[in-house]
Amino acid sequence: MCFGGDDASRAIRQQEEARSGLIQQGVGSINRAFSGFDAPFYERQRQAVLAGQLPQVGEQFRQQRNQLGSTLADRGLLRSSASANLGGALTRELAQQQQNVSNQATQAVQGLQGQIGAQKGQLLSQLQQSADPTLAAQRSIEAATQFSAPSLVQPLGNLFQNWANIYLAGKIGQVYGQQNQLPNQPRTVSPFANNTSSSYTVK
Amino acid sequence: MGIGTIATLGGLALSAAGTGVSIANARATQQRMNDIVRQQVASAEGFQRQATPEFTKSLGESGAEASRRALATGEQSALQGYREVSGFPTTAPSPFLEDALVNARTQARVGQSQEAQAALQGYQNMAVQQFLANQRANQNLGIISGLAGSRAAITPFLLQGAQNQGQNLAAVGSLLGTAGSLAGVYGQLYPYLNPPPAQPQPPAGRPGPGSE
Repeated sequence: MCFGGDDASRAIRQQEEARSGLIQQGVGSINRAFSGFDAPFYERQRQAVLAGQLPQVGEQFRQQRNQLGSTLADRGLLRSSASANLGGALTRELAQQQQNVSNQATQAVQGLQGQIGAQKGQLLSQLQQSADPTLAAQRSIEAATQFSAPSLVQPLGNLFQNWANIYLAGKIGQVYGQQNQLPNQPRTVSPFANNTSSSYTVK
Repeated sequence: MGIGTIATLGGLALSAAGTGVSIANARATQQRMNDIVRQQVASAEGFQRQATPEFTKSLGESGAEASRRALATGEQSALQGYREVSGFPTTAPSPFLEDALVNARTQARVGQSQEAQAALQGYQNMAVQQFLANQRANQNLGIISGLAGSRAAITPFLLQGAQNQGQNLAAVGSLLGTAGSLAGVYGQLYPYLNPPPAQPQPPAGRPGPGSE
């Protein structure tokens, strides 16, 4: 007696199991291709961005410091308290720019993580449609290689320009003006001028 | 017992056998279909068992506690990064007047700024980690869901196959029933189809040979 229905059912089931097996094989290939994108990989990417940008920050800082030193020396203010304050302000600006660079490096890495995850998702989706593990493995290796290549680090703009324009010019002008005008300015009378006692009573 | 009676009884027996075969076939078909449904349900439950831990893991990565961890991790990582970059050498000593108070104030302000920025980076890290966790969960659940869906999609074909598998036996039952019916009909029609031979009757109006 012929059981054609049984044969067909068996064939359908076997086909489906084979398809599932191929998909699982493809998932394994994709996971292997993307296994290199781990924490050390992202840390290396971050360090690469920092290595590309921090020297630029340092170079711009040195230029700005030299320019400031030259300006202050030209006006005889290099060893003044104004020099110390401006040096401190420049140091704060340097720290701010270094923080920005650090944040940018972190954000670049986070963006890369998102892109890699999206690419992996796309490959998994294609695998589910095609059930072709060979193609999935090939594409995942291509994608992984593309992401592994170091990305170009864009040159930074003039980081200290705002600080120089707004803070430095005003501050030097103010300090220089005050120093020049000091002999001519009426002295502000101290509220303690007439107080000869060593203690001051709060009223 | 005449041939007609035997044919009728045989027909009844065949019909009964046919009915029996049909009933047995229907039960067997139902059994096969139930088995297929059970197998498919078991398969779906298997996929669900794979999916549940993934979903639970995803939930674990989405709660308030996970967010607090991501915040703290991001903040610490950012602070560490700031300290790392602040140690980057700038060569040549500063030409400006060194003032301990100014230096202390500068360091304090830089520290404040770093802490504030690090806190913001913690929130950024939380959002990114949440996004990545969702992405991973969707990918893993998508694969399981796809496999479960394609397994479920063959159910109608398997049920159809189970039904087709019984068609041969159903045909046998039907044939037996038909043969039984035919035999029964033959048995009932037998007397008419094969009437008994007629007895010769003496002619009523003619006198016998000795009457003349």
